[in-house]
Amino acid sequence: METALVIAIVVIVAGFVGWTVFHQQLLSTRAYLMREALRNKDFSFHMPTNGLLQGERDMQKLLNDLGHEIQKQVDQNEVESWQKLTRVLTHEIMNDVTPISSICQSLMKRPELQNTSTGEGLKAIAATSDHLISFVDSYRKLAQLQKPQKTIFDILKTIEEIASVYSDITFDIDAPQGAMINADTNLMRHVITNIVKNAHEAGATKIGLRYQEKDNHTTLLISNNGQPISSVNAGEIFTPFFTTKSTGSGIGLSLSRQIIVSQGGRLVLRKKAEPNYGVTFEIILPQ
Amino acid sequence: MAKYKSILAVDDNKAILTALQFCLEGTFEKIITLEQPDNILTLLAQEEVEAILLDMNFSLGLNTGQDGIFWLQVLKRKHPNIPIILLTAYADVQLAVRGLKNGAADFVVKPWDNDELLRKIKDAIDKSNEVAPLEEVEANHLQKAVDKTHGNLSQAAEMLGISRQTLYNKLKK
Repeated sequence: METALVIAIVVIVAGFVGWTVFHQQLLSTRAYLMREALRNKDFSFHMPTNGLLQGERDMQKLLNDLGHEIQKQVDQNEVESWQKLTRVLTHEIMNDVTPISSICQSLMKRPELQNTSTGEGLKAIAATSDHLISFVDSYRKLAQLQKPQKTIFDILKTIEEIASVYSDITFDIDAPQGAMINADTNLMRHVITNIVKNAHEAGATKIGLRYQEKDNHTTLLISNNGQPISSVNAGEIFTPFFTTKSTGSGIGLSLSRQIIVSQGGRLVLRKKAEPNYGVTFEIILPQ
Repeated sequence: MAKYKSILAVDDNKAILTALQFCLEGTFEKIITLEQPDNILTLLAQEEVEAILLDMNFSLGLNTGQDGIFWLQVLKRKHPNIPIILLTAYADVQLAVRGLKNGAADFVVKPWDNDELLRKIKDAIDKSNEVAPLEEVEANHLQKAVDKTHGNLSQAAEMLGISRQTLYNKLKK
């Protein structure tokens, strides 16, 4: 009788120890996965919490939230650095272009220079400085973003308004009726218009929009079947001044990202596009 | 067309002062330029000017427009009748509003269009030279007081420091 009891206890203890070791290994694997993500500078852990004990579940949720906050801060720092740089750059450039533009205007008026080669030369200088001015002018906007006025509004209405402008693109919208987001209406319209315009210019004929609500965040996935973005360009598209278009100013996506970041959200290019599409942008906003 | 007499331009960028000289020489007889605002008051004690063009930022790296607002306030206190036009490289609405609230006559963003700059300067000078006839000023003021009291003449007269009868007579005119 005693031996049976001893054996039972040994088995139970062994089972318990075995389970503990196994469970600890699972936790180590989790830590390993998160560390790998960190190595790739990806702070957005979204590890599931099934199979965890209560304390562990709370810790994992904390890690998920911490990662998200860090990612947000990193994005914000990047945007702020660009804002500061842009502000100083535009100020210096505009100050220096001013005498070029103004003196040209003054000289071109002089009657003795009309129809002379000097006059033509001055015209060329004036035209070039005008072009530079309008280029830099669009960047002044980047440095002066107003504070967003958030309201909870129907995002589908905004999308329908934008879609009606692009009649040669089919819009495939996957969202529940009355899908709302908490954001600034005008700024969101600007961002979505920018993404749709880029898609249009990349030759897209179909745009897909998917609305998701998860973990206190609203996600919008905007995909298009136009020219995919090469991995070389993918790292640059949100950088101010970067553009692949001959007439582009390179401000669209950097401004859009700044708008989303200023509302506590994120705008990223998905590494893998949604099925049947070449490009997917993801907008994540807090609810 | 008679030229305006003199104007003062203050900007730490020499090339901009040159540009202003080119731009203004057809309209002003004398163009005084300063690269630093420090001696503005001494200069104004010796020279009479019809308008002042004031840059908003004077130190490299200090891009907040603070310097400009400070000098604007000083000038408005010491020479309240000289119109001041602010120049800045920022198209910042808030900065513009601050400038206007502090008494600037107008606000010009760099780079400017020469003709527009001239127009703004001339308008500012002409406006500040306008002296409205006393009757007109008085009539407007009386009307304001009456509006404020919603037609209650006794109250309005009290606010204006005159008798009700006097007010009534003035309004009848």
